[in-house]
Amino acid sequence: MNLSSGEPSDEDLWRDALEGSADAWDALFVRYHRAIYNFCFRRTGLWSAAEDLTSAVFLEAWRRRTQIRPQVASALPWLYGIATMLTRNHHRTLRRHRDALDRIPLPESAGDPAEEVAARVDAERQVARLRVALRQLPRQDRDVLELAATGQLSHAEIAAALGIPIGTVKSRLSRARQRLGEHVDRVAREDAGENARHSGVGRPSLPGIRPRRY
Amino acid sequence: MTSDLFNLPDLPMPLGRAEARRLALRREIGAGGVPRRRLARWKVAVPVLAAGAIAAAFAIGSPTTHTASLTASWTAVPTALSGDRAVAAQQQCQSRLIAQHWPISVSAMAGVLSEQRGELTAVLMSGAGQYGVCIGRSGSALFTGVGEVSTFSPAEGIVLDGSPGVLNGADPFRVAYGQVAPSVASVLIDTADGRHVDATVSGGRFFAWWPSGADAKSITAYASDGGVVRTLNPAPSVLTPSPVHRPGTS
Repeated sequence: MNLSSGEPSDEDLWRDALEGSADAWDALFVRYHRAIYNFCFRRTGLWSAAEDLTSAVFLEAWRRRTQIRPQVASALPWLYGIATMLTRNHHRTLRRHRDALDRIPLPESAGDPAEEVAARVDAERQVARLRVALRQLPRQDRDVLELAATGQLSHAEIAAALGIPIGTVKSRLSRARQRLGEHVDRVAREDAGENARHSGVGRPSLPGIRPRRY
Repeated sequence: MTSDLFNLPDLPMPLGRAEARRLALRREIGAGGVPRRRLARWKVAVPVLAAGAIAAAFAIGSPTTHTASLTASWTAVPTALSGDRAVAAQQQCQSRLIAQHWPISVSAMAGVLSEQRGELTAVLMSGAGQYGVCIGRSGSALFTGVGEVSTFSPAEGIVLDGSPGVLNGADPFRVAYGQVAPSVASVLIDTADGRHVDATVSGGRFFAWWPSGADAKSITAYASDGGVVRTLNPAPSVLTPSPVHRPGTS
């Protein structure tokens, strides 16, 4: 896909970034920080940790820029790969990057609009349900599924992001989907049974969701 | 539906925070304030992980001698390290992996195999679904890397978990490692530049490296009676190796 004139393509940006251009890294941050921020939030369930991890991902990517060049032309799968690694043990990651993170002068919070606060709270609830469901999966399968579902990466991009063969991506993804589907079905059946006991009406539900009682 | 679970809206960072973090990143990059690995004095480009390849991340240690002088003594047939030397090499590899600060569980890794090719010792460690790889000699790390263990059924005979560990530049080399079934007694790697490299096979794993930029053309697993268990034909590297400047070696 061609970008509008004046805006560098992902490929050009990535090439310049790998050559060490600070401007290119600046542009990469502007372009992708939101995607990485939300990915980190989904992996940790914590908005504050996601913020720090986003900074850590770009710092780590910069540090590793001369070591690995992914097959894909865009930086995003590579950044997702770094984010996947750093969020596996985010407490350790944040400890390791504490000095750099402490140097970031964050502005005083002016207070988010009420609707944004509500959206963050809702998102935290949803992510908590997601984390419960994903705990049913082995870590390696979970990583692949999250890159596919959250990052919307292709098989090839996931393979490049995690450094694993495409065949492994496919098998892990298939297994993860199957197991997660079984978990969802099982929870739905349990919730339907519970509803039937309480109200006489069976209603399927997502994992971790209990019918709200008003 | 499981997809509903992932159906979450993306939200922006709180007001002003993204800009503050962007400026901080810029400052860190400009100041060179990004934490550096203790061992890394020079770095090498790893252009690509080809299809069927792994090696999630490679970090390179600092050679005290020019790489070429280390690899000149390389042999296609490895020798096994004796007990004490193997333990020492594995402990050194573990230390090197820890020093890289990768987000991996080094303490969960144990030595799987170790080999000697000329002056250089190689160690493959594994645990918690990951590999750790070290090539070097005492006090001089040539190569340190990590990768993931893939799913493997013994019925497959052999699977390539890591290859090509593509390291290019003035003195390129390649690394290949993976899993083998109990029926596999030996593994032979034919490279694109005509080398025939014997891999070390131990504990259900195989490992080899060779000092050239030529990828593995075929990897053949043999049973103890000499019969072929399976032959793999890895895809070659996709990207052309890029020239690399190594400070102090130009």
